[in-house]
Amino acid sequence: MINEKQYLTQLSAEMVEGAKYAVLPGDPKRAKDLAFMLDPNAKFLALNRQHGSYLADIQGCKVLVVSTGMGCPAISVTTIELHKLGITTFIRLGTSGTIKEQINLGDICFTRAAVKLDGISREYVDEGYPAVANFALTQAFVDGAKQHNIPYYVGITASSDTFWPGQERHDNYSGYLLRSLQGAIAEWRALNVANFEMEASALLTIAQVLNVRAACFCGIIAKRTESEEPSHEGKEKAQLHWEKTLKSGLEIDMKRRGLIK
Amino acid sequence: MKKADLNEILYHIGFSTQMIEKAEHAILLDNSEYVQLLAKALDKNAKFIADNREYLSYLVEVSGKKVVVVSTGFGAPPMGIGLEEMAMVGIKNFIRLGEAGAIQYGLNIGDQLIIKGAIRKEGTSQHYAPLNYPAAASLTLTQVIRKAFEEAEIQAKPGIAVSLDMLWPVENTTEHIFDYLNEDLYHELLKKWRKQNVQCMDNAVSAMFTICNVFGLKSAAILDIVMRNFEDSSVRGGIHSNPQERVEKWAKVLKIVYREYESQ
Repeated sequence: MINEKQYLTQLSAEMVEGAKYAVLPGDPKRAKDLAFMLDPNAKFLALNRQHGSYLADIQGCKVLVVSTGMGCPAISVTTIELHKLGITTFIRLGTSGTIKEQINLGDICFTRAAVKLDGISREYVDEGYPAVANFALTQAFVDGAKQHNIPYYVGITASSDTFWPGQERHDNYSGYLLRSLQGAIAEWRALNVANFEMEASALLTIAQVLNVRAACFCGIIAKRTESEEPSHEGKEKAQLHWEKTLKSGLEIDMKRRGLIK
Repeated sequence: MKKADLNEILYHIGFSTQMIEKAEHAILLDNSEYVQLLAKALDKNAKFIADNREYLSYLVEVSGKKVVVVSTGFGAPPMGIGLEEMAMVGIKNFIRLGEAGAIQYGLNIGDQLIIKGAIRKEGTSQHYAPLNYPAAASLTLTQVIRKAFEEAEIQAKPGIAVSLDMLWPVENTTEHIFDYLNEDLYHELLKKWRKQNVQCMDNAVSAMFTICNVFGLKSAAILDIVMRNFEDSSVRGGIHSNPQERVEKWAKVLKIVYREYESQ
């Protein structure tokens, strides 16, 4: 039914006006900022729980911006709700901490594929089922970053269900890390993993199962070789970079697919 | 154990020990739409504290105790982050009020369950303890809750739940291709859990129980059935048509809980 509302996002097919693209930040405030950055006349659609939803228009091509909340379960359930409404291109945009030494605060890190340090992306499929991005879509955003001379890295991301232990942060409440997680950063670095975040593996796995397009890129706000804490200065720089990357990348992808001129 | 400075506002929850006036109790809702309603039902002078990401928080006073009412979002990852930071600002007792899908045939929309333990079918708790570690509630807090339901003359069933990262398995798989793709898995899981005396499924309780056990903090859970999707019938969400009624039931029980819990 065209006006039937989904349980969590409270969006209906009618409300999204035939949009095929969805941009998925974690934070509802960021959803609002991104929608108005893409289109000063963006439309507010709904705010329910952690899901703030806006509809932007890029030269006649509709883009839905919806915050998912944090974590792999949240992005999974949001993706499935939006897929029911006809979305076939999903772009996660988030914040991240580095594993590789050469990536810096404010840089954009693209996820080519993800390590599953979460539960859900191992649930429905074999543990070894690849959490791999849509390459053409990812390339469009890489090209967007290049246009603005934004420092970027394309690589493998580790997606964790936790902010502290799974990302080898020692400054949590108990101060204790399971022995199996001690030294994890060094190990992931040795295995060529670039960065940590909390959603990519689930989005990429579910999109692959559903045969839809998905990409993920993050602004680096914590340089983990130096500190466990997110950096405010890094966040400001990262925000400028992800805004430009998102806008140009969407336009490049839409042009390549003949959706806009 | 790490303690935040009195005025240190934590990154995700957006509040400090001072802002919550050194409260040691928290009520954790999954749905932020109920936070303000419940806070006002518990204390008409409820104070807004913060609104950051999934964490919307109010401070209330119930039976002389400061209690933070806060939403923790969808699933185990934001529950884990919330618990870490709330522990750092000094909260020691957590009561989860959450949504659940029925597994047993006898459960209907609106039924309430007091959960003493949960199957850990989520990833978050596995970063805190191996899978053989128990996701079990606090006995003291759970007993107080059971007695409060009796005194309030509200029915609540005891039992165990399964906390899932995956979407709640359904028997009616016609709604979305993803359900259809997982039809066999869903039927198999529901059949197994039904036989193993698991009452219902949620997204976060096993992570809360596990992490609180690791941290030496107390937690308990009350879950409301919001979905019943069996082959013969499928209902979801009807409970939200009367939020005030749901909140008043909670408030009645919680007022007794905080009155009695003091004497422990």
